[in-house]
Amino acid sequence: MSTEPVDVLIIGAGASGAAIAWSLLETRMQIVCLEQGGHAHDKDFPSRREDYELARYAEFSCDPNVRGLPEDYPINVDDSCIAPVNFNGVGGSTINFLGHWPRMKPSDFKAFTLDGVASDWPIDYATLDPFYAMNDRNTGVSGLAGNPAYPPYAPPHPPIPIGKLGQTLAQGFNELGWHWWPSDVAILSEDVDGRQKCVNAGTCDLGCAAGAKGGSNFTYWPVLEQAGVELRTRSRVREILVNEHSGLASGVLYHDADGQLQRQDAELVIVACNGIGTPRLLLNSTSRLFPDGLANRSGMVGRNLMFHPLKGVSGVFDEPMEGHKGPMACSILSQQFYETDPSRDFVRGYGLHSGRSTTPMTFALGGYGIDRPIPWGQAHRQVMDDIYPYLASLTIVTEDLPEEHNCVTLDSELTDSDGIPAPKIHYRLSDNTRRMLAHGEARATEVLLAAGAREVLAKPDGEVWWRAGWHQLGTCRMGDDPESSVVNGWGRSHDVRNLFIVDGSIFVTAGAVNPTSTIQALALYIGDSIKRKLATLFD
Amino acid sequence: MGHQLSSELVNVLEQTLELLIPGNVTAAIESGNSPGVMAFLQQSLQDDDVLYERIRTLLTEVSESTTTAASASQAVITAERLHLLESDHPQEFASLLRLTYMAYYSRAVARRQLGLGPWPVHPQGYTVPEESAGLLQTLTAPVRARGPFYRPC
Ligand SMILES: Cc1cc2nc3c(=O)[nH]c(=O)nc-3n(C[C@H](O)[C@H](O)[C@H](O)COP(=O)(O)OP(=O)(O)OC[C@H]3O[C@@H](n4cnc5c(N)ncnc54)[C@H](O)[C@@H]3O)c2cc1C
Ligand code: SF4
Repeated sequence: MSTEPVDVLIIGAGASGAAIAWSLLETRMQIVCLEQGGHAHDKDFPSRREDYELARYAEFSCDPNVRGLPEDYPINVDDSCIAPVNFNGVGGSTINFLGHWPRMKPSDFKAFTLDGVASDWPIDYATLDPFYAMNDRNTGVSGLAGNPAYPPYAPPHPPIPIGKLGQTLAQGFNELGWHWWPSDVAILSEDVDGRQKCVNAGTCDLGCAAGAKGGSNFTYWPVLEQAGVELRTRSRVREILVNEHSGLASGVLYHDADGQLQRQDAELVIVACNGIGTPRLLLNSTSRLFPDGLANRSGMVGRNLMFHPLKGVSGVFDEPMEGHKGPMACSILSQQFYETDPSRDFVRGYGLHSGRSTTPMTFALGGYGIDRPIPWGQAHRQVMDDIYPYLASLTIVTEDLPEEHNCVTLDSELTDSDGIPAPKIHYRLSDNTRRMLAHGEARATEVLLAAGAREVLAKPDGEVWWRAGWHQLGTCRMGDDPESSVVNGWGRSHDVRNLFIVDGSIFVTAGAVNPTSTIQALALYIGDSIKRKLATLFD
Repeated sequence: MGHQLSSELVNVLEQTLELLIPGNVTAAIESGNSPGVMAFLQQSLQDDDVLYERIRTLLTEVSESTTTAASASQAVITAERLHLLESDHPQEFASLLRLTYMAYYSRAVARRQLGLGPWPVHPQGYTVPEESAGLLQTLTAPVRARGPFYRPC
C-alpha cells in the first residue's frame, strides 16, 4: 500500500468523520479515512433473527467491554459511575444509536455569560443553524415544524407517529401547562432516495435493518464511497506523527487488518474518534515536542468529560401503551425545565424524554442500560403481566457541566488487540447533577400522574443508568484561549496547525440534548471553515 | 464434548425454572420450565467453565439440601429454599437468573404470549397509525399558544 502523502486523512468513520468528508468532497482533495472497524451490513443486523434480543448482550451490546470484538478497544470503568458505550465500524456509534435528534439551544452556547458557569462557546447557535439544516437534509430528519422552544426551523420530513404512549404523555404535559413537542428524529417517516421509512420495529440499537435510521452508514458513507473517498476499514491508528522541524502532523502509524504496522502520511489530519477515542489517540501520540500527548500543551486533552447522566421514571396506566412499537428513544420531548431558574437549587437544566418501552428480555433484565433484573417468582409474573404492557416512561436527561477531574486517561495495563493502551475513565456525578435529577424525578412523577398513571415507579437508590455513557463530550474542548482549550473556534488544534478535531470531544458544554445533530453540524461547519480558509489554512 | 449437567441436576433445574418464572394459566403463558429454555441453558453451560461451575454449585446445593434420605429425583424445591440460596450465593444466583431470563425471552413464543410479534422484528415491524395533522395541531395548541419558549441571547 502506498504511503504517498494524501491531502486529507480522516481518522474514524463515524458521525463526524463522515460529515466532514462530505463537506470536503467538493474541494476534490484526495481523502482517505482510516477506520478500525468494518462495514456493518444491514442484512446481518440481528433484528432479522428470531432471538434478536440476545444480541443486545453479546455482539451488539452497546458496551465495548461486553462485545469485546477485535475492532473494539476495552475501556477501564472502575472509577466511573457511568460506562461509555459506542460502536466501532463504518458509521461509528450511529450504527447502534437511537436517532433522537434534538438541536442544542441558543443559550447552550453561552452558559458562562448567562449563568456564570463553564465557558461560552467560541461560536453560537446562529453560526451552526445553516449546518444543522444541511445535515438534517443529508440525514433525513423527521419532525414537526414550529417548536416554540427553538428559533424557527423546519425538519425536512413529517413527524413519525408519537403513538399512544406519546399522546397519553402529551396530555399530561398539557394538563400542567408544560412544554412538550414531538421529537425530532434521524428516522425517516417516508421513503426517500431508496431508503425505506421506519417500520416501527423498536430495535434501533441493533442497527436498523430497514435503513430508515439516519446512521452515517446509511446516509453519508454510500455517497462518499461512490464519490471516491478511500475508506480503509480494519485500520486502527496507533499514533499521529509530528514533524519535529515544522511542528506539523505528518501522518499516522496504523495497524492493518493483519495487525501489521503501516504508515500513512498526509497534509491535513482530522481526528473523529469520538470523545473517548480522540483523547486516547492524542495521549498515545507522544513525541519530543509533545511529551504529554499531541496537541496537549494546555493539559486539557482528556479533561472535562461530560455525559448526560440519566434516570427514568415510569407510570403504569390502565390501558396497554404499546411501547414496543416504534423507535426506542423517540416519541416526545419536554424542555420545560431546560433553562436555569434561580428559584431552583441547581444551575442549568434537563429535558424530559419519552422513549418507548423495551422488549421483554431487556425489560426483565432491568431495562436498557441497566443491569438489575426484575424479581423472580410470583412477583415476576405480576410485573410482566400487570405492569410491563401498561408502562409509559420519562427519562430525565441532565446537562453535565465540565469539571476537569472528570477525564479520560490512559490505563497503565489494559490494551486493545493491537497492544495500544486503552482509555480509563474517571467520572463522578456533581451535586448540581444530583439535585437536577431529584428535581426531574419529582416533575416526571407529576406529569405521569397528570397523564393518568395509576402508579408511578421510580428507583429511589440515587443511582444513574450505568451503561448510559452514550454521549461523550468535552475532552478536547474548543476555545479562543490556547491555555484552556485544545482547538480553536473552527476545530483546528492550537498547537498543531494542520490537525483538526471534529467529534464531540470539542464541545465546550453538553447542553441537555442528544448531541449528534450538533456534532455533525459542527463537522460541516469546520469543513466549511477549512474550505473558506484553504489558502491560509496553516498560518 | 463440553460440560453437561447430570440428570439429577437437570431435575433440580427444571423445578427451579418453574419457580423463577411461574406460568399464568389464565393468560396461557408458559412457565420457565418450557421447551427451549432448558436447551438454551444446557447449550450456554457447555463451553463456559465459569458459568457451568457457578450453576452446578448452586444446583448441587439445592439438591443436597432437599434430598436427604429420599432419592434426588424426588427432590422438591420450594420458593423459600430458592430465596435462601439467593441470599447465600448472590453471585451464582444472579448468573442463573440472568441466563434464565435470556433463555425464556429469546423464544418467539414468549413474545407472542406477552402480546408482541413473534416474528423477527425486521422486516415486518409493527403498524403504528400516524397522527393526523389535525390531531397534532390540537395536541400542540396549548404549547404553541404560549409563544416562543427559548432564552433570548
Ligand atoms: C446505544 C447508543 C445510543 C445513542 N443514541 C443517540 C441518540 O439517540 N441521539 C444522539 O444524538 N446520539 C446518540 N448516541 C450517540 C451518538 O452515536 C454519537 O454522539 C455519535 O456517533 C458520535 O459521533 P463521533 O463521530 O464523535 O463518534 P463515533 O460515531 O463513535 O465514531 C468514531 C469512529 O472512530 C473509530 N475510531 C476510534 N478510534 C480509532 C482509531 N484509533 N483508529 C481508527 N478508527 C478509530 C471508531 O471505530 C468509530 O467508528 C448514541 C450512542 C449509542 C452508543
Ligand atoms: S424502529 Fe424504525 S428506525 Fe428503529 S430500527 Fe426499526 S425501522 Fe429502524
